[in-house]
Amino acid sequence: MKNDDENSIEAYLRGELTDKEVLEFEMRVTKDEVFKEKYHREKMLFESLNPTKWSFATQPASDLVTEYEEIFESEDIANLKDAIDDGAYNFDRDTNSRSDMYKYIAVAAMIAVVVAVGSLFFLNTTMESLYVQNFDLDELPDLVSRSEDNSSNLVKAQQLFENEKYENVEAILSASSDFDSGYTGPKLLYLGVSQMELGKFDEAEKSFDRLINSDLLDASKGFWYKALLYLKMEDREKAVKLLKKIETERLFNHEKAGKIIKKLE
Amino acid sequence: MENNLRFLYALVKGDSSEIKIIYKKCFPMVRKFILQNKGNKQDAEDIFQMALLQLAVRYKKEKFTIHSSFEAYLFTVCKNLWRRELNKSKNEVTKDDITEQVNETTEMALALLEQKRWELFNEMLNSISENCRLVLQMFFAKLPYSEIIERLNYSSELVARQRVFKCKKKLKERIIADERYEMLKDL
Repeated sequence: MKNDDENSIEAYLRGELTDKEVLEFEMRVTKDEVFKEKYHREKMLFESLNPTKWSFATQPASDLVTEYEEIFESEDIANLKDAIDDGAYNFDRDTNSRSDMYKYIAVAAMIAVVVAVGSLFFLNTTMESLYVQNFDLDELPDLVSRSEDNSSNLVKAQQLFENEKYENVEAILSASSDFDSGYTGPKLLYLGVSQMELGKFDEAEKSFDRLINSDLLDASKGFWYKALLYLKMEDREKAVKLLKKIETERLFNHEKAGKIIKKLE
Repeated sequence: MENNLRFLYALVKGDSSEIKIIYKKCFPMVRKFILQNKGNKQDAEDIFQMALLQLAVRYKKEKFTIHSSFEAYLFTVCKNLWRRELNKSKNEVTKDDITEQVNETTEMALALLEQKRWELFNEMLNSISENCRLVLQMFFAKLPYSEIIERLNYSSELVARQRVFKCKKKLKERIIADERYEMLKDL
């Protein structure tokens, strides 16, 4: 069975300790070298395998690091930096003269190559790339109606959304005052998308469900954005199930849904 | 996968016409990913260039093999470099060891070694049974046990905790048994 140390390290890393326990834990890490070592080993595993974190090296000075530093500082790599700059410059120049359609085809081809990778090692990357490719901001309806006063919260929310200030958008759209006039489809979509971009997946799911269960004009769009949410969450099973519903019932973006299903199966 | 060696050689040789092809094939997707994840165009360019340098240095040193397509691998490296960047400020604040400010070359070397460690851990996670992999993915993603129980149909929290314990033990054994671990564990 697990010992107490392992239990407490796990609870700390999963954020399950009380404030007082956290202080005690951190105090022990500073004083107990053996415990500190155990903690670092577990932390390394947790941070490497948590999809939003990163496991940083804690020993920047070592022979191994020096070996790689020497190669990074070599003449060959200095030349490569120049070659990369040239490649980037030529790419930019060509890209600027290319039509939008050509760009679209290039990206689509790239996606096709990436999603064709079948190994489990890259499964998450594939889901994420599908999310990136299929999440099109231009498909969102305007949040602001023509009759809207320029000083209204919705105008602010739309501007904040365009500047990717999702926290502020969420705050405005969740505010109680907005309940008075009732939620509209665009409000729920912008709220859900903002929550999705902030990584608040449970809240985003609730917002999309609220739209789906409403009789609003944009209700069927809720299914599509909820499916995108599952792609972003890398929940393949739920994503496929919902995309199949979208395809079968010919809901919003059903053709895109069909294409994604083929790539996921 | 036929492009893997072609593009790795191109990087090592500094062949700008081939590098332009790599840009054409891979950069739009990386840029889109970074723009949708709190970054800007300049971030995307910096990350992409760092990834190309990382691949070149690594290939010069150890002639490693890419098991997927070059494009997918490069995207993963970029994604990880960006994840590293987003977590950087948090890491500096919470770090309990007193470390000096590291220079750019050291940062690049560290990022490369961290990528190698990430690959080892993920490869081993994907080498254990699917049931174990699923429960550990949820565990490391900090899903509450109540949710793990519901999603995987476990009968109680105790059963779920025991399953996590056994799977994590298996995962650690595999990681430790891998020859790369010795070099990467004290990083």
